[in-house]
Amino acid sequence: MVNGTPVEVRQSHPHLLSALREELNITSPKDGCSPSGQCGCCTVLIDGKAVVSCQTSLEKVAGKSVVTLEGVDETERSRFASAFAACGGLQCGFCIPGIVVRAKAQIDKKGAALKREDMARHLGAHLCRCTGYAKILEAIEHVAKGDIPPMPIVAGVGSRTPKYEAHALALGDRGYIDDLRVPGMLHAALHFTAHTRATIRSIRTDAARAAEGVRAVFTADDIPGELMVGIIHKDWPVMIPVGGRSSYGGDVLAIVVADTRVHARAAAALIDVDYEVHTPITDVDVALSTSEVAVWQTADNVLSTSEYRRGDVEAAFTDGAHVIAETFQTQRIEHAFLEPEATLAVPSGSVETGTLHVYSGGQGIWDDRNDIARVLGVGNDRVTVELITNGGAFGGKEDMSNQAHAALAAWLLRVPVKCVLSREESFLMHAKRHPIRMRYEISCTAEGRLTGLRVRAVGDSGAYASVGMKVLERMAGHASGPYHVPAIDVQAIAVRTNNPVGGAFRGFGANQAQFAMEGMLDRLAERVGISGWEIRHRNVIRPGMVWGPGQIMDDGCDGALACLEEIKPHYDAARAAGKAVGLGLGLKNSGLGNGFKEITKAVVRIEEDDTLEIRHGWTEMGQGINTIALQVAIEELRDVLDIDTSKIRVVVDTTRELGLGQTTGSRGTLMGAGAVQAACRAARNAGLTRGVDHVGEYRVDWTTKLGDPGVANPIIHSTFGYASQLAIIDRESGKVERVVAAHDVGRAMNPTLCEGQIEGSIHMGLGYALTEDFPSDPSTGMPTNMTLRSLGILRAKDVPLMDVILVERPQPDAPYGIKGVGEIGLVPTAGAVAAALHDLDGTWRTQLPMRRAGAEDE
Amino acid sequence: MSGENAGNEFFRLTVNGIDHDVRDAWVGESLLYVLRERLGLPGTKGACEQGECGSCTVLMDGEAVCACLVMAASAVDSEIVTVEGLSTDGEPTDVQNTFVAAGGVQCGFCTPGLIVAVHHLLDRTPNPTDLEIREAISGNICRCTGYGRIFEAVRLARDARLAGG
Repeated sequence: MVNGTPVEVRQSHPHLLSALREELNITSPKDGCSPSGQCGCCTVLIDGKAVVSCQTSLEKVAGKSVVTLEGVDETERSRFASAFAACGGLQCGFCIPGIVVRAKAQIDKKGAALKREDMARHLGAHLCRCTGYAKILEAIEHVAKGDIPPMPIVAGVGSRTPKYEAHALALGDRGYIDDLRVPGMLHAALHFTAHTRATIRSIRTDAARAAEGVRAVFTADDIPGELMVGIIHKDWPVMIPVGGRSSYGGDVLAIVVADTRVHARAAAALIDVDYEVHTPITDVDVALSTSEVAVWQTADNVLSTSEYRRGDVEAAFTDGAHVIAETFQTQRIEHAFLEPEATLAVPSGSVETGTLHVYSGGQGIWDDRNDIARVLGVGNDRVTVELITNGGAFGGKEDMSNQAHAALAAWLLRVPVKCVLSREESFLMHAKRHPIRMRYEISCTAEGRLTGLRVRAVGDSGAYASVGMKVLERMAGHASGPYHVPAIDVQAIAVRTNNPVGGAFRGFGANQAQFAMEGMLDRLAERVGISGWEIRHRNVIRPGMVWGPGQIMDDGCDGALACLEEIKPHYDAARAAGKAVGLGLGLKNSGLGNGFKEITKAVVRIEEDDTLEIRHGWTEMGQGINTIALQVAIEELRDVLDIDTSKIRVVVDTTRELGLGQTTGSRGTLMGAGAVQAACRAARNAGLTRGVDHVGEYRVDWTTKLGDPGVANPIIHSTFGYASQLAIIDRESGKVERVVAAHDVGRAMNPTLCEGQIEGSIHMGLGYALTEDFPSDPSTGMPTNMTLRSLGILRAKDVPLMDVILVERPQPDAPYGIKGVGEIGLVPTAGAVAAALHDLDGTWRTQLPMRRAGAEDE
Repeated sequence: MSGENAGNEFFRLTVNGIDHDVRDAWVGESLLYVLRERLGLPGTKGACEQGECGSCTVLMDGEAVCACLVMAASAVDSEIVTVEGLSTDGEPTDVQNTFVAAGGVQCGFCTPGLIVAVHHLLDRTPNPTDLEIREAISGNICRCTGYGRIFEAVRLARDARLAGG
């Protein structure tokens, strides 16, 4: 009798657990150590008593009543689930079902009289490697007493709801992927190429195979499916095969799998590779002029060209009262998210029919799923990717890093495999911010009104495509900043080299363009004899005006002027106080735009006990998208549903087809809120039916491609965020002492999270402006700054005062008027700092970073 | 790993007031590795293994150190406190609560190390100035917050303690 139903099973099972899991497909009892009975994960109730099922023979249970969590009443189940979630009583969760069964047995017996120390003694039968047990006991205590703790002050849109899982994060409890432990798990380490451009003559793996603890070594020959992956172009080899050619320092040649990470890494160093080394192409001008191809399996070093023109630029330059030209060069920088890339892949079943569950911290887990399935040569239905909230990304976790490698090893070995990169490997592997050289020519009238702009830009996109062509497309689109320019001619080329890959990084091309554009505006202001604020005020884009490639701006763009007006009193006060002052104004698209059909979905489920489950398609990476999702659900449902906020669950995994692409382009809150809102409305329309998926969709499918000569007024983006920032430098110390930031976010969904995004961006923007750099050696293409210290990230003591002013000019047609805030925070920063430095010493800056240690103006 | 290192090294670490026997550890293993991988205390995060990010900050005899730079075997006679051991009653500490209240947590990866560093500060310097706060956490890199909310969290915790809260 199992869960109230009489069953018959084969005699051959070694123990009850095997019968439950393998024959009856009852999987809540976990197999942590069978048949040794030492972990407690497989605990079940037999006639009401808690027993480890891997130590129980079938004869012993014949005729008795076996109950697993599947057979427990739903209300009671959710009481336990809520208490464990609210108390932070679970991390990887593997041990929890067994513990819940044990707790249930005790609570059934003693009720509210159950003492904590007694329960602690009973937990002696259970191993939990994650929690340290305190939270588990707390959760159990709450269940025993019948007082499930509510989450504090969780509310709807516009509230300062504490971040979802914040307490667990603050406690160090919430597991990141490297914190996940699965029984039988092995560890993978990668062997990277020693040369950025070399033909691989041979890969000898025998020494690594013979090393202590090593279970397997895999090379490209072991890949059953496709070798190449990539978000847009499939040009990025998971490993370089013998006969193939490396193209950058992050190329992988072999995977070593061992019992511990220490053994795996030690053995990975023993892989012996014979290279035929070629001269790497590390200079964009060489790449553009040579007939040699930098990157293996590509035909051309030009990755993309983005261009458009409107009006007569030559005439503008001829007639302009002031015409100036300048060349700017920005640097490569590293994301330096705190959590290095980690992946855990857990297979089940056989290679022929089995499946794979991958825990990924990637920014687009549906993309991860599709590419992993390609590499394994199986259908998407056999791979599930579950997002584990990551420890920071900023664009650097869009491309897969080690997901495919961990997945491949687990798939071939049929055991769980985890792969965690070291900091150095993280530096080597993931894509960086593009260095871009930009030639700007600009003209204006005697009154300082812009008349013409020509821009020629070349970006170093490194080896593989990643999203490099889109970064340069965004750079081109944002070339003119938030200003009206009657005549414009822009071209931006992304070039392949053997340098680190250029890809997504918060700001995505807009930062580079607007560092240059703001610099041109300040130079013109000086010629005209007006202030930096005044020239921006005379040229700022306003509703109905034509912008950039010809887009007619909607009413949302009044945010640009609003930000400028908000900053004015601070600008005037700082100047009056004799400070060196610089002003930056910027805009940043939210959403991919450029003709891309952006569709995202969300699911809202209301369970019988009113537990609210929200599933969306976006990666939580610290920005708070999970919090936004639950605030939207509260906003939309609170008048018709009695929401217990402690019973809201936010889930992101590929078991539903909700995702379309990456959590990128400042669009998570905009589109995620739209989809959750739609799902809630679907739920309302369906009478809040319990236990089913209510699906909502949000789409932006009306944008147009950049540079289509047949379209006079393209809508390259549906939505923009706007910001003005003021950098104030003390003339004596020469230090940036304060940054005032006025940001039009449309709607501050959660002011605390919103301010956090902006402050974090300003910090990153000041680093970009002043000190951060991630160069590569021109002779080898290898990065030269391989420690966190050498990156030039500003430390806490170096951060100036930051005043954030939230401006809320709603975006027409966007849910709640949202504009997006993820990236805009560092778009105007470098320009503002450059202007303030010029005010300080009279020197115009053309290169970033502007105060690298050792540089002359330090 | 050669055989001579793998053998039967044995030592005892006192972590969060509990003695742990560490067996079969390679003698060069870092305290960070031993805490996370052998003692099952994943609260301490590893982000650089270069002593530069502060994510693995723990207290060793009351001093804040980077656990990645300390050999575990050299910590045998020390009292080690990790983020898991800051609270004595299983509830979040005052500092953890102010980090949440002030919005000082975004991705959260640097947070445990910062929490330890701030406890270290406030336990020694009950009324730190803004400059002292900045200096105290300058060994910790946060890439998300820009530190503004973190400064605020420390000030809130300081003020609450001074008020006897």
